[in-house]
Amino acid sequence: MTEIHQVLVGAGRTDAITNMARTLRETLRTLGESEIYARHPAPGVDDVLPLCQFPHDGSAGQTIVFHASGGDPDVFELLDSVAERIVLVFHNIAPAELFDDVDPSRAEMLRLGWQELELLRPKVCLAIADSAHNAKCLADVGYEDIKVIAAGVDAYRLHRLTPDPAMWHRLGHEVHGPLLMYVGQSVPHKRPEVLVQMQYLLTRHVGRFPTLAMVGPPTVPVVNTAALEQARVLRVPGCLFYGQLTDTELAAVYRRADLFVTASMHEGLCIPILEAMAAGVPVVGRAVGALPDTVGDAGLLLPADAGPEMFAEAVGELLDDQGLRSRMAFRGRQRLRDFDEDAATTAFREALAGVM
Amino acid sequence: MPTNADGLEEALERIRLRVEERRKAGDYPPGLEQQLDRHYHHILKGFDAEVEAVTALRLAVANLRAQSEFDLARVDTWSRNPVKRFLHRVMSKLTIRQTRGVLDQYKRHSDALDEVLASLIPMVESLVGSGTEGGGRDRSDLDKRLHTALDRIGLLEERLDRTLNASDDRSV
Repeated sequence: MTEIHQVLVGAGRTDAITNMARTLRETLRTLGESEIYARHPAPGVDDVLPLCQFPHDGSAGQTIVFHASGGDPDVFELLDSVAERIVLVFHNIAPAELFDDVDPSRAEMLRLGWQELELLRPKVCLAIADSAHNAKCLADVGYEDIKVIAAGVDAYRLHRLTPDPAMWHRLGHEVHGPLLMYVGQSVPHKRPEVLVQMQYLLTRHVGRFPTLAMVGPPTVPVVNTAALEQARVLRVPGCLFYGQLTDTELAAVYRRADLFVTASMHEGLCIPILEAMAAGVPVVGRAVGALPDTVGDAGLLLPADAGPEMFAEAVGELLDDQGLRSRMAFRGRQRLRDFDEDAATTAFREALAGVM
Repeated sequence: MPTNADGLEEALERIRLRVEERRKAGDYPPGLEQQLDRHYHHILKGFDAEVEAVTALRLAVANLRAQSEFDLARVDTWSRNPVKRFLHRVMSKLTIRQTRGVLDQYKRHSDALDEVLASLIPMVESLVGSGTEGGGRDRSDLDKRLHTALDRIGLLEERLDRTLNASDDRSV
């Protein structure tokens, strides 16, 4: 019986890459036996097996689907020794230099990720990127014939949930005025501090008083703590740091939000933007990384070097223009059709059939 | 640049213009963004230094523990000179009771010290790492507030200079 397993560096309960792997697993199981293995599965993730349980007899004879998002020596060793052929699904790798000061070991792993991609290239029989930007990054390290398959994302997943009543109640108490929201990990390239500074300018220099809700796990704790500290020291009003929320809590925030704002300097896709579009929340971000591919003409993309001043004005502009916000919400929902799960699965199956 | 269609291009242009207007009007003083960024990095650097200090403390304690093995066997009696070697061995046998006594005292002192350090380290970590409560945090808070205040004074001085220059220009 055919075995095609997937290998990930990390796996989480709800993170985008693991969710994509789960969808793909269903497709691969129509072809044979298929499991997901991860080097660092998060606690409680029981449908992903630890990498040490990967079935092999030591000889290189398997076809493995590898989701590349960072480096890891153990993953590389497995792929190098066991995989005869690799189907590479490239989700991009965060820029290491931004981690140098705050998390040097992670920076090292990110650099390693790019090196490993180059070393694995001879074994890669099919290279898939989930955006044109990611395909370009892959081409920059020598890959050719990269197939761009837009990620299949169930962006309406949260929209279908009943918002958590306690969170809804909490928002009712804590949110005053329009709600600006950000969802993402606290990592240096997401630049959460720019949003804090934007809120500072809005409240101190522009005379607007929205509430800013920051949602997401403190992956690099010092980044989260420093942004929180800046908000505290500058006495920025209306800055709420919610940390990681459950799906139903997050659904409540999306439902209450007026704008989704991100100052991220690097994105391989950005699922929260798609979730915001599904919730009808207009998006403001920077034209960097894969964001133009993700957002298309459905969101307001500021120049890559936009600072808090420009973000503050963008927020003001959109809050004042209900018509523009409605048009953006409408176009956002249209845009989601490009991330259809069935279409992505079909495209993946066809691409796989070409090399199997 | 992205495709910003259907009103988005115009909105982007309005945003650019408004930023310029606010800068000209002094609502966004020159260097404000850089100042905010510097302030953030100052905070970030402060946290790093604290984390590094705790890491250094942990390493120092680990080193101390590694050196806390007191054993007669570790007392060197070897010498290149055979006569001296013989004398060292005789001396060590003659003073073995005293040596053991000293080592026992050191061991007890070391164990007590280890207990103190074991209770101190988590306390230091909690003061540095998470708390907004501990007293050790207060000084760092004061430092940061002081920097913010200095930044703002700098900002006001710049404004004042500009105003004075403008009034000088007018008087000329």
